[in-house]
Amino acid sequence: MTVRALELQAVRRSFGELVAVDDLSFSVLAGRLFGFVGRNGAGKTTTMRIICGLLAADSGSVLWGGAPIDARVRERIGYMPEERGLYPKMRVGDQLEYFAVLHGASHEEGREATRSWLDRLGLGDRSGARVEALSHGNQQRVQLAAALVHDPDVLILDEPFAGLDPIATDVMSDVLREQAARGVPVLFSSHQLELVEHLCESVAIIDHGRLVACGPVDELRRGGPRLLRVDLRDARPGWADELLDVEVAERTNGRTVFKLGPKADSQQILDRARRAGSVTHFAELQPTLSELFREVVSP
Amino acid sequence: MSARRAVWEVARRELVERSRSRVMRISVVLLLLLSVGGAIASARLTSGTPSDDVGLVGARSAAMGPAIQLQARAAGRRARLHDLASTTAASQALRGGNLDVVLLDGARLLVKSSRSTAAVRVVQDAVAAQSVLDRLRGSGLTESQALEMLTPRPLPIDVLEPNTRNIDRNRGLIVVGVLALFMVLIFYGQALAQGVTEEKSSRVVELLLTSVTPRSLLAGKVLGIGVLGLAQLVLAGGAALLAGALAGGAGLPSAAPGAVALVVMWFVLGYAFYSVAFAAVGALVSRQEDLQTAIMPITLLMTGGFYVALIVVNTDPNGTAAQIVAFVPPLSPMVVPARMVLGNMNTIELALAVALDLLATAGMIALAARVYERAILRTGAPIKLRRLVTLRARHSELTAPGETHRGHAAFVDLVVQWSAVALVIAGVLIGLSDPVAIALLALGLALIGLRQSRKHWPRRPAH
Repeated sequence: MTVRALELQAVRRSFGELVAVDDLSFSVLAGRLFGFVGRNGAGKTTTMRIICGLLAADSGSVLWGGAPIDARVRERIGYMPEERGLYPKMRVGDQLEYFAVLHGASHEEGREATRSWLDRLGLGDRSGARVEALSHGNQQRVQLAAALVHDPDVLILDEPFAGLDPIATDVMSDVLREQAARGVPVLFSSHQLELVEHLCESVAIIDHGRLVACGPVDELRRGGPRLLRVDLRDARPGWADELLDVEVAERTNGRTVFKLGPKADSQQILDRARRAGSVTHFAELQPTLSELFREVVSP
Repeated sequence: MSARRAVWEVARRELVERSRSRVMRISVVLLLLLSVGGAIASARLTSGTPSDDVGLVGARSAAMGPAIQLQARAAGRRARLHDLASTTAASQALRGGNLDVVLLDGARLLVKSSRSTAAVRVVQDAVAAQSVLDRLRGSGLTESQALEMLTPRPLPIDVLEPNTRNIDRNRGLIVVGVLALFMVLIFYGQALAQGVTEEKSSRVVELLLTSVTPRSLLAGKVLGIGVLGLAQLVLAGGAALLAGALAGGAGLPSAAPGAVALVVMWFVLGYAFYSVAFAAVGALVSRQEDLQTAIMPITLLMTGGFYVALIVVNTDPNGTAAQIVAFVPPLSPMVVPARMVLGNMNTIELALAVALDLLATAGMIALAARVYERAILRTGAPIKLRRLVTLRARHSELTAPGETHRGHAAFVDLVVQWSAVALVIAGVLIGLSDPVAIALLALGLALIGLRQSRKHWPRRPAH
């Protein structure tokens, strides 16, 4: 049996002169956590809005399980918009029930799901409170509940971690993992790249509306530039000059990280280092997602 | 989810959430109090049929009872008969002011002081008529022939200038009715526009539109709020009719039930036309602060219709201008009820006005739904269209948090609004020729103007 997937095929959308999303293709497998990263204005939100049907693509298509997404499928998407949206004056419980019902649940199902999600997110006693009376963090939790209350088949979350404290971040991470384990494809955007690296099996990096890197995080890191870290005590200044096809990526007191070109020779660097001082650490490094990101995204 | 269910669920939320709102409840209670109070005042302040209390002593007097009542009715009065045991008891009742006149044994009258009251005349005439009747019967005529001779059929009357008092009462009635219609239209239209802007500014619409189409959302909101407005108007109108019927006195003018029906019908028609326009404008702005300015063209149009209706009422309900504006769709909701009650508009003209209004409404719905759809997410909305409707609607994508309309300020606003309405109604009820009434009217209208302009004063940011 093939795994269902949310697929984007050559999606393109422009606003006047500005091409916000350009020939974007990637797929998110069911049961996977998929990170969607890019600079501000790279086209992440536009892409997510297109998936949710809030915007029409100029061309290209979005598929779920091989078929184009229609209204019936869209009803089964859980969406957390970047600009949080809730009725400020409506009671939390009524509001979540309403969202569930709009996604096709009965009122009883909606009430039941609302109760269980509010309990799960630690808001069990705030069901009767107006949203505007909640703290920012709690509003964020209600927003998450609004995306989940109808038991969605696909989750699209725009910056779900923005503005969360460490505990709330853990809760959010747990919920997302749990949803993925349930067989839901979870696509979320974030600027917290350590978190994405930690949480996601796969990522897509976009820049100016174009996909610049996509795939499993480990593969991407392996495919990144070769890095070499050398820690040197009492180093003679200028010891690392004139090395063949090498670039200094980072230099702090005693530590140097080199980015190695194809012709660079790590053993030559080690020899030079030993002559310059006493080597306390010498190892090849895999770039972090952040380093990778800086590498592929235009400044 | 089917479109029908989506519309119903959206409408249901509007009904539930809005009927919880304090402002909404206060406005319902105020309109109810005003309409019931107005109906009672109108019924009681105009006196009904005058009545006489006639005491009857002795069997021969009692036999005159039917004749006295017939005579009283012929004189446009009503006689209440009281059988009394003795002359002493009759004298006591007369002195106590419980009786107007006493007939003793069918032969003598007893009064307290004045000899020439209407009651005395009624009894005198009744006794005289009865004796003529007896003689006619004695000469061989049957009972009905005798009665016919005594009460010849009255001549038909052509009235050159109709009773002005009745017109005045109908005028008061229709002013109150059209005012209520206008206020409820504006109140619920604004509520709808605010609701749309609230969804847009709070960005909740982005969440809603993942599962509901913009048209379903719009239809649900229009429907839910419209049902509330209709309920409020029907409640107030029904309560006014009931109160008028129970209040005694002269009751409400005979045109009242028809006027209430007309106002309710034209509320539905007017709401269908204006509500979608309010919603479209609500979708064009991104902040509550800009809404009042943006909906100005609509409220001005409605206010225009209202004043035209007032002018129709006060000058010539059958004038050329009145006849024409009744067929102008945005104005007809306010003008047609006035022309129907006070003027000579007939059913065919009414049907024509309704047809034109429906046609215009269909056009308005098509236009407004287009604008709403394109503007509510404001992505891909052509700016030209936005400019066309309102100049101030162009703001950055950044949205300020929804203005928190403080309960206190809302309450003051409501009190000002309804005091103004009460003043206008009071002025109309007193009569439009009275200087006091004109002063009250002017004060009420000034308050309305003040309230409108207050909305444009800069507000402190709501942080």
